[in-house]
Amino acid sequence: MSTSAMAGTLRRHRRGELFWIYLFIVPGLVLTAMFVFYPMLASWYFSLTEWNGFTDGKDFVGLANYRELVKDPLFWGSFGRSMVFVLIGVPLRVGLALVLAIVLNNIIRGRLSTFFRTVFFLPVMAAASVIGVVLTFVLSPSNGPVSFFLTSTGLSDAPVEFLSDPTLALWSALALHTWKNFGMTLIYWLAALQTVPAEYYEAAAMDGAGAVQRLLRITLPVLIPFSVIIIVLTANENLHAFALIQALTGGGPYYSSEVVEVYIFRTAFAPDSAGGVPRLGYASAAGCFFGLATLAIALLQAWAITLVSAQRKRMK
Amino acid sequence: MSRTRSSSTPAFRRRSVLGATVLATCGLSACSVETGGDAPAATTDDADFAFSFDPEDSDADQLLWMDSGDLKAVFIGAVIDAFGEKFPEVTTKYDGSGWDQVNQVVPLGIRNGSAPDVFALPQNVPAETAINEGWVQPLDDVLPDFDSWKAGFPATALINGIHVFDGKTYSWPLNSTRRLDITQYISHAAAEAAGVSVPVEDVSTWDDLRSLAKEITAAGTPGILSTADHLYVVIGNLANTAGWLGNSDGMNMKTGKHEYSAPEYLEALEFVRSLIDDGSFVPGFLTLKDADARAQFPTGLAGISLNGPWDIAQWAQDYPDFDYTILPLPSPDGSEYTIPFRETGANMSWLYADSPNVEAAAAVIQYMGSVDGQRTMVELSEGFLVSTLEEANASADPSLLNDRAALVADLAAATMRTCPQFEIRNEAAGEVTLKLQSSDPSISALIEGVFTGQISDAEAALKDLDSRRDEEMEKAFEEAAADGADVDISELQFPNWDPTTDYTAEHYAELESR
Repeated sequence: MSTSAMAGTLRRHRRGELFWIYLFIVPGLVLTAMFVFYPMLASWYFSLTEWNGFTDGKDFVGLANYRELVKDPLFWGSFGRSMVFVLIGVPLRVGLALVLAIVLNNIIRGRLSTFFRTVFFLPVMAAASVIGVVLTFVLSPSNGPVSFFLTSTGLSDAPVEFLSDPTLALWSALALHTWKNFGMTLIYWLAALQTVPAEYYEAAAMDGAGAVQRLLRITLPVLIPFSVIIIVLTANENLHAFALIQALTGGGPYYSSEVVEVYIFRTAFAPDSAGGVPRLGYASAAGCFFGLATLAIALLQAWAITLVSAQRKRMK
Repeated sequence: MSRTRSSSTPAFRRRSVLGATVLATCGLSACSVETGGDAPAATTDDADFAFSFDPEDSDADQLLWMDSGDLKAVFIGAVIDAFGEKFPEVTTKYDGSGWDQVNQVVPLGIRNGSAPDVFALPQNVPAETAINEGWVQPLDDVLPDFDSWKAGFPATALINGIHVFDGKTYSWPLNSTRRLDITQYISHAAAEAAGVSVPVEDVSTWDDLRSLAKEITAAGTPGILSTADHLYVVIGNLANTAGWLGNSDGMNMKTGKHEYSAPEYLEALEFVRSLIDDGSFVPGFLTLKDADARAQFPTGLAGISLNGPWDIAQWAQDYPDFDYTILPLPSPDGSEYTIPFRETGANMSWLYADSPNVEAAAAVIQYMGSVDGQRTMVELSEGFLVSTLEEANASADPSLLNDRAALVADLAAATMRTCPQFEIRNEAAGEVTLKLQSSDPSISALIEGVFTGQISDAEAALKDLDSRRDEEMEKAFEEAAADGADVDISELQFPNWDPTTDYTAEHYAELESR
């Protein structure tokens, strides 16, 4: 076979391969378009309308919803609480999970390690709403076991109102959200730790490096690129705490645990005793604004990844 | 409605199926209707289920009915089952699976043309929307003998903007809203533990209630049970006992203005705050759910529950030995009071516009809205559902009624008075409702804020709420008028309203003749 004939065969083969590749992409692309791109674009459109969500008539109001949104103290309150979930919740969860991952990877080994991994991962498997409902009973100040333990042991004089005290509700929700999703971050770190070549540790041991030095000089530097990804993923999870908070407190008392997702839900679907019809257009504006803020955080983290990668290349 | 049957109105013996259908309906809908205790079993009555339906003249081959279930399921389920048994060529199904199911299934069914033949509207869909979007159809042209059926209701029962739109009747009130939202339920176990003799004879003043709550709390059980879900209703009703004229929306229908910042309301708010400061409220009441509170009260969660009569049926079913005293809310000094309420009717159902089984659905609706049907509803619910038709209530067999249901019905009749409604006065009211936007923070949220200390000046916050609600109302009227609706905000004022008597059709007529 001549060279040109071979090239033609290769091109045909490649075209055939591309055909099948694109063909198999189509179902995923269609589903993504239907359930991701379309709702996203629709939300942007809805955010420019005054619409209750079930009538045909949508009044185009331009940026009026956004102008109202930036003046709404309840929105900014919920936005701030979502940021608390990111700025405090993420370092807490990522840091604790890293410590535990190192312990389970380097110190506790065998079946005990597997047991702990399973125990920490179990809450991840449970539905957030179910966990939320169960925990309201567990934390009930009137007849919950936690309250009973704290008062019967003298650790507290009175029942602790974890979910109905406005100074505690958000922090209780954050702690429970951290606990519920802790296993996921732990798995990320354990996977990252598997990438540290054993030869590094062996070489370091031969050079007389201790455990702390191996941690600081080998483990952590290798983990830095992973850390950025893990932080992005954890931040994403912490911004989506709707199911747990709705089940725990519904955003109360008096908005003290209301994060942006709960705010959007309340505005779009549940006007409560405030009367009036739902405001899907306004809620969409809140969703789009929050989406942009989330995107900004993700871009910031992508920029951090770039910086770290550049730093590592210079070090090499 | 006549109970005479023609060949096209076959009868079905109710006596023979009553007990079985009650049990079957309860099982299917997981509802709470077995009252147990000293309640007599609903098994006897001389009336029959009578349906104006001839399968020979109808293409109907099925009847699907969907609503939120609960207490009404015992009646609706029984009627639907009886219809299916009488007309086996029609497949029947009653789905009373709750609001979540209604909220999801009905809009989907509308979109793909498979909605139930009769359904409750999803909670966030105003009736005007369902009509404008062509979801539902009027009953006028499909109900047999519609005019006499409609004439059977009191003059103010079928309301413009709620049941009637553009002169057409789209829905009807299954039962009356004359039902006290809040009464005192005093646990005998908790009271006895505090050294109080039972049944508790008299808690007629606010001080009485405060003292009793303190005694019960001192004996080891939290005194008062109320949850954030309805605390604003408790305070509203307590304010009514002090002479406040606000309705369930906080509006004084004499002035047409919201009056949450009225002195009586503030007085009630302070009274509840004093109960909380005493330590008499159940810890964590602000995040306690109504359903959990209801389930836990008989097990000793608290001594006094401030809630509605819907609790009674569930307690009777789950805790038949639970004993308690039922008393009306106390007033500040023990004097008599009235609670204004909007008689909008409850548990409305709507006929699907594209239903291929209209004749079957219409026959069932016609029966349910008749005197016979309404009396059956009262009896099957053991008196927990009260009809808007006085004749139906009066003719219900007393031996089939639960004593406690009868007591709370009597309390409601003694203290509740219908207040004027804009919807009855002006049939374009629905256009205003569609334009009325919510105003946050709501009264419910503000009360939470006051009791948690997040709001330090309750009066200022309530004045702000009144102002915001009035502004939203004015804006809604202006927008509705701009869209062509013949409405004027002055129509919210009813200067001839006497809160001590029911506001009747004569009062509306008198107002218009001024």
